[in-house]
Amino acid sequence: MKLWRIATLLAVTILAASAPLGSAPAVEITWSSTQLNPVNEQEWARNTMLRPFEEESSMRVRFVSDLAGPFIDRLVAEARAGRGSVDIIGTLHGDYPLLVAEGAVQDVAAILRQLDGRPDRTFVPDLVRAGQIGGMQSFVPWMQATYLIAAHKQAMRYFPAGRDPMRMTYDDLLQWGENIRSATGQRRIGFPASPTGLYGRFLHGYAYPSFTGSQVKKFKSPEAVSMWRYLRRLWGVSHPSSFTYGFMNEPLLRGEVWVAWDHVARLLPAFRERPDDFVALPSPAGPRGRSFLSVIVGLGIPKNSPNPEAAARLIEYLTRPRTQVLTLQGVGFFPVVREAAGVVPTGGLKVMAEGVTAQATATDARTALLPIGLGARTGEFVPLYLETFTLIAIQGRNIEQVLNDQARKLEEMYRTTNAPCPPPDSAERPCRPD
Amino acid sequence: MTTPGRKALLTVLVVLISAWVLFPIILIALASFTTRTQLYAWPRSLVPSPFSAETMRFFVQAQDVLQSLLNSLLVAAMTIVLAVLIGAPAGYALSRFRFGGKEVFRLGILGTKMFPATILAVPLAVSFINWNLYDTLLGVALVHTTLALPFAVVITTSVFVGVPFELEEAAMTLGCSRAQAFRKVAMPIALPGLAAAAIFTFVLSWNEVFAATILTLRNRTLPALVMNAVGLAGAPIDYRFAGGFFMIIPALIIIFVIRRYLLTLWGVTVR
Amino acid sequence: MTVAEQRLEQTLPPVRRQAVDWLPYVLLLPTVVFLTVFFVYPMLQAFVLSFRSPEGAITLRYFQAMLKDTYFAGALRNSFLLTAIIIPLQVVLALVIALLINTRFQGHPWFLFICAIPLGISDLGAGLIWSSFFTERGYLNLILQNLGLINEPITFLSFERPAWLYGAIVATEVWRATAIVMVILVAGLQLIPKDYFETADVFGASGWRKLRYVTLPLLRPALQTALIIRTILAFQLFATVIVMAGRIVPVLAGEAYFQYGLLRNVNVASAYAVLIMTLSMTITIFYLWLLRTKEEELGRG
Repeated sequence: MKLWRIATLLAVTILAASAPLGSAPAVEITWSSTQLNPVNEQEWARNTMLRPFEEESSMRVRFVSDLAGPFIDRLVAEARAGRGSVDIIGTLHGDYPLLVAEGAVQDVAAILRQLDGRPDRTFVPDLVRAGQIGGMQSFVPWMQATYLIAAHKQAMRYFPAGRDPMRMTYDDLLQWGENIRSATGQRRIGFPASPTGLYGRFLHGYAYPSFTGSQVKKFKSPEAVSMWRYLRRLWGVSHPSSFTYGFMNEPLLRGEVWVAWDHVARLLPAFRERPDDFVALPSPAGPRGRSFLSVIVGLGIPKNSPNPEAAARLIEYLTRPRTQVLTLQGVGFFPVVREAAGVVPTGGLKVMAEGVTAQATATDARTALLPIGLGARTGEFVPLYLETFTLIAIQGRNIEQVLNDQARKLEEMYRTTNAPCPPPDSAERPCRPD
Repeated sequence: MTTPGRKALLTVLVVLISAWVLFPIILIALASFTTRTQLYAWPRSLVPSPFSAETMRFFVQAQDVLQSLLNSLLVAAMTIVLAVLIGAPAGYALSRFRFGGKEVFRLGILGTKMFPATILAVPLAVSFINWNLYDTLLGVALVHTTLALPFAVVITTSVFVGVPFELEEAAMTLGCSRAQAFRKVAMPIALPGLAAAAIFTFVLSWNEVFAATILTLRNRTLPALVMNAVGLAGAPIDYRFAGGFFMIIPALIIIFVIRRYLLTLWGVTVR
Repeated sequence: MTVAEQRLEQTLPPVRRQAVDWLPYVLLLPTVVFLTVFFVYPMLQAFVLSFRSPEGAITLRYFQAMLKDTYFAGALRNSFLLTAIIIPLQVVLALVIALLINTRFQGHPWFLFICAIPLGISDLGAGLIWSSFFTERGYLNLILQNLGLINEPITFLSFERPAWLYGAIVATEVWRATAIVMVILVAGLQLIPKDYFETADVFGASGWRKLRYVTLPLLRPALQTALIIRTILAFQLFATVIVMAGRIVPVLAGEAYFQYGLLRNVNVASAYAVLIMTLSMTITIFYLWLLRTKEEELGRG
């Protein structure tokens, strides 16, 4: 009787599907991460990065890489339900304020202290400090990254004559774009302005401090107004499909874009694919210096982690100088321990590393940091700057008015969270745009 | 019955439409077998030379891919069975009977489909953790069934409306019980509609990525594993094409299998 | 009254006058229970978030925030406009395909299969395929250049050409989702007994008259179903739009997604979701009214 067959099949399937699959190895831990998401990077993580750890510890690591949304949802759900399956997490330091606010991570100060005390590694103090959120050490620094400009060599001949690309200013960049445009009729500067792109970081961490010396306080200052005027003009020589670009290595390799600003890990594939075709340049300098952002990726332990001890072992392995160098060579994220800093990479990575060093050691370099203390509202910071950009540069609205409206929103956000200003602003609390 | 003129028009339309549908598919099929360097070249030829199965091989061998493929098929199968088993009776009820609350049921069932499911991620996950359904394929299948049920009900309703009740009446006067009349008479005629509901349900479950991502950690379905890592994450372009194509193939096979049930001639399937 | 409608009148069982017939409720029960447990319960939780602050007070401020959001007006307009453009195109195209298949020409099962292929592609997948087509160094420009029609690639996806962005989205959606409507219409066509067409031929009806007076009326339930399903799905569309047009073309479902996933503003995201639901519900009721069959009208009597 067909109906019985279907019913039996269904029953068997349900039983099979709800049972755990396969036999479990000795110890298995689950590592959930938002980084190393592209499928080739995931495979690298499993096969190259984690294999030595699995061998030496006889543990199996399940590396699961997700987009930020589901990643945070999962941790929040596990925290609320009181039961967890994720043993260890790895994500951007900008995500941790939210996780701490939701009570989803535990304090790793003891682990960090122990690791830092070891003779073979010293963590960069600024990076450790960035993890001190809500009265606890929310993460152990794992890797860091920054943002650069990558340029195709064929574009270099349009660079303004007599100027040094390694000491480029924003005016140089604009001139460059205009030169390309008059020579070829095309707009070949590109920015990752799609919803999955990181253009927002450019606005608040690179442009704003370079023009105004501030991320928040001088939001609607006269310097900001001239910055936005400049950005309008820059957008006029940028590729109009930029709002579809999430990762700039692709448009660069396709040849749609000749000069691109993006996260180092998102540019690396271009350098790897054609190392002889591209150069890495430090981000431009404005009237107030050459500002750049450091992005920190940290390892944390969820509140309901089933196996925190195993997680601590994995953290130890990942922060070993040897592993740090391996990570740099693998995916282009830079080390967080001093001992790993001296390594000279080869190939495409070398080109990029030169750019990073040039940016960090420039005489007019200024570090900006991601905003802190905004807790559950951290996610609103970058969209606010992006919105400002859309209103001013794409919809062409009145600059002063938009800045006033947006500044009011910024002020409200900082007031309700009572958060301090991010560097290079002085740490006034709550932060108020002037 | 068709004049040569009409036949020509028919042929032209069929060819045009087929080409329009197939062209992008063929493109990504070709692109999946192209090397990365060629994909970035400009101008480039549409046909890859040399043919390279490298990226496709990567996908087949990548960790957990085959397992998650199996997971997706299992989930989809469970979803189809559940959705049709639960939804078809409801469709029958809505088509045959007049009863209090009928319109409310109809709108209510449809109403669940109008709420974007992405927002339900956290409440669902919390419930599932508490019910021990977290990270199980059954859990995902249950959510997929929930997403597919409204459509299954609506499609089967409209199908049963089109099946004349007199036929069941006739069977009943000949000695069948109501259930038998339904099974022997109404269902075979309704088969195209049930097949349509089944295809729908399969496709919905196969491509569903949000619920599958949040509700699974170790036992992932294929979209949860691949789509996020390929679609939005900026994997190199050859991986995007190969991953996308790799995901389509099983769906194509299933649609191919079910398609003949969409066409019947009074219970006789057309080959 | 046409022959078709007269036929439908007779399909209902006679009204019973005794105690309430429990059979329909029993048949509906599994569906209702299932949906309540797995969807309605979490949905109500999310629903409540749209007008309840974390402190527990009832407030309209999340709806106000949604209305004042920079992207709201555009999202509302775009969602409606895109739906209004895409759906008629798809219905006509799906009807053409379904009718073609119905002529049972040689090879029609293959044609059915080909036209059903896009069903197997998610909206994100379709967006990625077509964006590789429309991007500056993409396939469309490649073909145009190879054919010698252009010298330089055209930038189709430009924020300066919003109409073209719309075109790209419409093209992708029509390609991807017509199959949804088509499959339902094909199933619906199967239910029309051949005698009707033969009778119409006997009376010398032309193709057009057959279509208008026989096929379409009998296809009403299927059309109603297809339109409702397609419209509900259309209001949920956003992955395709994001890939093609970023946030330059905001849509309601996309804004709900960004509020939730990016800004982590669960309450405003719920407000958007409630709005989407209300709009879909209204339009569905409209369809149900517009395309009601005689059966339903009698059911109301």
